[in-house]
Amino acid sequence: MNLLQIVRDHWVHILVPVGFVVGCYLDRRNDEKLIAFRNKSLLYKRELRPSEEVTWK
Amino acid sequence: MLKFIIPTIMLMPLTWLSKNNLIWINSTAHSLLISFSSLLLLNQLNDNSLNYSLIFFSDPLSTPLLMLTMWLLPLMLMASQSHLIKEPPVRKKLYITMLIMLQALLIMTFTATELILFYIMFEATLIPTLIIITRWGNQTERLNAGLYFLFYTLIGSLPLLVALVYLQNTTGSLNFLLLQHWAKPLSASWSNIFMWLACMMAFLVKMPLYGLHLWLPKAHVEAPIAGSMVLAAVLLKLGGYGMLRITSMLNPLTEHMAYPFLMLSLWGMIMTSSICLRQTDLKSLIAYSSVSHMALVIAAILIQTPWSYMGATALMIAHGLTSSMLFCLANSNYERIHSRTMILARGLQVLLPLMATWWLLASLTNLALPPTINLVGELLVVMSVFSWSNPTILLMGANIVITALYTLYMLIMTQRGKHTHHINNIIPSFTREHALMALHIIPLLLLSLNPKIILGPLY
Amino acid sequence: MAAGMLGLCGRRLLALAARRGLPAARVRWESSSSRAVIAPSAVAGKRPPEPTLRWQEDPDPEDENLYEKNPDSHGYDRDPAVDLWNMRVVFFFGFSIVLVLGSTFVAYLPDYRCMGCQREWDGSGQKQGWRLKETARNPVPGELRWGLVSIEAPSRLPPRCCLQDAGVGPPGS
Repeated sequence: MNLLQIVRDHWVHILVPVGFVVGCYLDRRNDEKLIAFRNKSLLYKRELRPSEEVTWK
Repeated sequence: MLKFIIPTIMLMPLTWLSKNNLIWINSTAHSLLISFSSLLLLNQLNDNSLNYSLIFFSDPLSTPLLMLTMWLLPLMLMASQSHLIKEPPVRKKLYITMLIMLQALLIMTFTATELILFYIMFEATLIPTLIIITRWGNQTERLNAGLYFLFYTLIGSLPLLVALVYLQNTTGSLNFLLLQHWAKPLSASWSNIFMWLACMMAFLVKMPLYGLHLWLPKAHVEAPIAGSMVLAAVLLKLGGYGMLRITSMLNPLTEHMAYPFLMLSLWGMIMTSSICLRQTDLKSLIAYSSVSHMALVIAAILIQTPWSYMGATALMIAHGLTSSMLFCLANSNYERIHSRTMILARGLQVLLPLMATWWLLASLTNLALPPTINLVGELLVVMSVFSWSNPTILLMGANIVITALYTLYMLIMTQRGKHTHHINNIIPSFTREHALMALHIIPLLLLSLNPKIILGPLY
Repeated sequence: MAAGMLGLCGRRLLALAARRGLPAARVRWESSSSRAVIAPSAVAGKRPPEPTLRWQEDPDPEDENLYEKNPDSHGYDRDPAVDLWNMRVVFFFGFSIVLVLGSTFVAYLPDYRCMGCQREWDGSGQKQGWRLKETARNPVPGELRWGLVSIEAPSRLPPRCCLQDAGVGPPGS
C-alpha cells in the first residue's frame, strides 16, 4: 500500500531516464544503419591499413 | 545525439505530470542529470567530428557550447524560483516548458549538420525567448524590447535564407561536412560580396556587432532572470558558432571583406565599454559589457588564424558563464532592492558578506584575472589581433583597461560605500542563491585547470 | 562543528532580524519620476498606475520574506519540507554528481588528440575547410598587406612523437 503510494507519487522520475535509454537505442540503431555503408563509397574507398579493421567506428 | 534531445523533450511531460509542489525539484534534478550526461560528448575518438546520424553531429567546436547549454538549464531553473513564487502552478509549468523547449532547440541548433536545419532552429529559438521576455519580464518596456529583439534578428537573418537557397542551387548540398570540401574559392565579385554580407549579417546581428547591438541591452534589461542568463550565455554564442561554421565556405573572400567589420568591432569594443562607465542601470551595464566582450570574439573570428579561433571559442564559454553569473547577482540585488539603479543599493558588502565574495569573484573573472579561462581567451585574441596589425594593441590595451575600470566601478558601486537606511531590513541571502553562484564559478575554475576542452577544433 | 553551529546561529539571528524588521521594510525609496529624484513615498501599498515612469523599478515591490515563516529557509519554496529537499537535490545532483563525478570523468578521459598519436598530424584544420591565413604560404593581395606583420606562424606543430616516428625528432625515449 505504502509502496504503491510512493510509486504513484514519483513515477514521473522514470520519464527522463527512459528518454535517455530510448535515445541511446535509437542512436545505436542509426549507427548500425550507417555501418552498412562503411567504406562502400566508390569515390572515397581506400585500402585498409594493416593496423586497422575498419575505416571508422 | 538523440540521447540528449529525447531526455530534454521528456522533461516537459515530467514537469506537467509532477505534483504541483515538486515541479522545481523534479525539473532541476533531471536537468542536472542531463547536463551530467552531456559530458559524454567529450569522448571524441574520431579526428574531426563525431557523427551521431545524418542529421546531427558534434565536433570540438560545438561540444563546449552544448555542454554550456545543458548546464545552464538547471541554473536558470534555480535562478527563477523566487521570481515565480507567486505565480499559479500552471504558469510555472508553462515557464519551465519554455525554458526546456529553448534548450532542446539550442541543442539541435548546435548539432545540426544541414545549414537549413541550422537556420530553422536558429530562428525557432526566437520563439521561446520572445515569450519568456514578453510574458515574464518586469516592466512594460518588455514589449518594446521583445519587438526590437525579434525584428533585429529576423531582418538580419532573412538575407541568410536567400543566400542558403542560392548555395543549395549552386553546390547542391548544404551539409556542413560536405560543403567544406566542395566549396569553391569565391572571387571578389559584387554578387559574391553580397553573398558574404548576407551570410554574415545574421550572425553579426546576433553576436551583436557594434551598431547592430541596440536590441541587446533592451532585451537583457527587460527579460526575467532566466531570459537574461540564456541570452547572455548561449544565444549570443549562436552568432559566434554560426560565423565559425559559415566562414569555411566563404573563403578567401573573408580576408577581403573583414576589414570594415574588424574596424567596427574594435572601435565598438572601446565604445561599448566606455558606455558601461556611465551606466546607472546594473543590468544594462552587464549587457553592454557582454557587447564589448563579443566584439573581441567577432574580431577573432574574422582574423582567421588558429590562435584567434581558439581564443574565440574559449572566450565564448568563459563569457557565457561569467555574464550569466553577473546577471544572477544583479537579479539577487533586484529581488531585494526592487530597483536596478546601482546607487540605491550601495554598501551591500556589510549586509550580505558572502554575496560580496561572489560579486568579487564574478568581477575578477569578468575582467579576466590570470587563472581564469577568460584570460586564456582574451590573451589568445589579443595576441592574434596584434600579429594581424600592430597598432590594434592600442585599442586592445585601452579596452582591457576600460574593462577593468567598469568592472571595478560596478563592484564598488554595489558593494562598498555607506548603505542607505532603506536597505537596512534587507532579506539575508538564501542557500539557493549561494548554490547558484557556486555552480557558476566552480566550472569556470575547473575549466581553467583543463582549458583544452574548450579551445575548439584547432587545438 | 563549532563553526557550523556558529554559522547556524548567525543565520537564525539574521533571519530573526529580517523577520522583526519586516514592518519597517515598508518604508522604501522610490523615484517619483523618471528623473531619478529620490524621495520616500508616502503611501507604500498603493501607487498610481504609471509604470512607464519608473523604468528601473519593480512594478510589484511587495517582497515575500521566506525567513518569516521558516527561519531555516533555503529560498526554494514556502513549504519547509519541499524547501529542504530541493536544497538537498541541488547539492547532491549539482555538486556531487555533476561537478565532482563529472570532473573526475573528464580528468580520466583519454586524450585522443595526442595520446599515442592515434590520429596523425594532418592539418585537420585545413581539412575542415578553414583556410587559415598564413602570410608565407598564402600571400594576401597587395592592397591589403599594409596591416600585416610578416611572421610565419605555423598553423599546427606535429606532436613530438609523430616527429620521432617520421625519423625527424631526437632519437631515444
